[in-house]
Amino acid sequence: MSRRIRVVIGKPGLDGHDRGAKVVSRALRDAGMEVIYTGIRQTPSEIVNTAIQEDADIIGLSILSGAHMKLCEKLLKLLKEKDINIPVFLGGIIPEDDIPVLKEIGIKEVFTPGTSLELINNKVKEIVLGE
Amino acid sequence: MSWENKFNSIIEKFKSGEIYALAKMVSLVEDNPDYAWEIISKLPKKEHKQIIGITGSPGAGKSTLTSKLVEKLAKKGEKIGVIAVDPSSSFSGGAFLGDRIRMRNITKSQNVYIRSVASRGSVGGLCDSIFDIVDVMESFGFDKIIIETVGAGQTEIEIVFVADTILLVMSPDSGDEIQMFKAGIMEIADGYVVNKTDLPEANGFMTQLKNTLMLEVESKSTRRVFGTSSVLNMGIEDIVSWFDEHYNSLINTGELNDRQIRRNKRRIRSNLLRILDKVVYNYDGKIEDLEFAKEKILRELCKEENNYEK
Repeated sequence: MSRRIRVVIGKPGLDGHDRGAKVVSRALRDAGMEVIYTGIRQTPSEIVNTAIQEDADIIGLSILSGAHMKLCEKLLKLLKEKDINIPVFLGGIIPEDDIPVLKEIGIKEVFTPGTSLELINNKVKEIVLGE
Repeated sequence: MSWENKFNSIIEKFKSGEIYALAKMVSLVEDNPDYAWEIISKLPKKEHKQIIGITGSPGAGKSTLTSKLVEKLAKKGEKIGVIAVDPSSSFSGGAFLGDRIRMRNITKSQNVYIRSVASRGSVGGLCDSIFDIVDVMESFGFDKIIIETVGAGQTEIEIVFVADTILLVMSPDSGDEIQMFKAGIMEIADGYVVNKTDLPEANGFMTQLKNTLMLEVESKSTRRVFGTSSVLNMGIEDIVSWFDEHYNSLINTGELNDRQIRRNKRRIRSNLLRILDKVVYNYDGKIEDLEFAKEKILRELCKEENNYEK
């Protein structure tokens, strides 16, 4: 039996605007994936623990607060410490200059506002199937 | 990687209590239903522990109530496994699993494991793998397993075949006593929870419910009605105390054994239906003669059974 892709969508940090996270969750759902939405104001540690409990194939983060560098670094460090290999993608208000740096530290893909949902669906599948 | 290789790579960590391995084991039975029984038979056998089902319509407050109950149980030192089921799309097969949003207060607890599960085509309020997931959790060593069903309709009562103790969560604004007279979900509960008692219509609703259930005249009834408010954190303790009380009464009256038999029969039926579905799906669909078609399908079913034995 083929496995359904399981995605944990998390919003680390203090911004409470989760429209984007919900829209992307819905798009991934409609593309046949099982999406676990964790809600707003999660810590990186909570998101990592959820991903482990849920046996997630991939973690999606939505950050609009400007704290993406610190939060992503922390989350990736936690995954490494726990020896867990789950790819992470990011969406939100991310300055162009930060994208290569984020990819450098291990974020698989960054989606900025205006990205088509179809592209996000395809990229997420591509990342998971390529792991 | 075959299921055997996956199993072998996680079994030792599973036995030593690693959550990572438990999560992988749940996925293994969920994604390999044809081999689930074989997987489970290789797991450590543990004593049966109480399975609690929490059901009710969408928005009644099941997830929030579940999290409040689990919080109390975990504080008492109990290890709790939560299975939270949400519906899969009939169109895409995907699912939006959102029960964890209401359970933030228990996600950090070392004593709690939450697993969001998609219904994957099952229509009774649960998922076809529910028996297998429960077995995996039982083997891992939880003190109680709590199953939260999908937002249930009147006929989605599959939980009655899985849980030892069933709670039906109702909102005071969910209709008048005519709804309470209807068969189906209103008949299956051991405990009825009128949630959101902070709403003005709660008292009247609770009185109607008690009258409808005829608790006053049914002296032998073990059914209970609770009033809770998750917002005000009221009435939770009563239910937590009642869980053990109810489970002990099931043991003392022999009812637990009856429910176990009911569960086993349903499990066998569920497995047979899965095989039958596969056979019917592959059948050419011609029914010039219905009896002949049925015989042909039964013959295919026997072939399928032989494949399992190999």
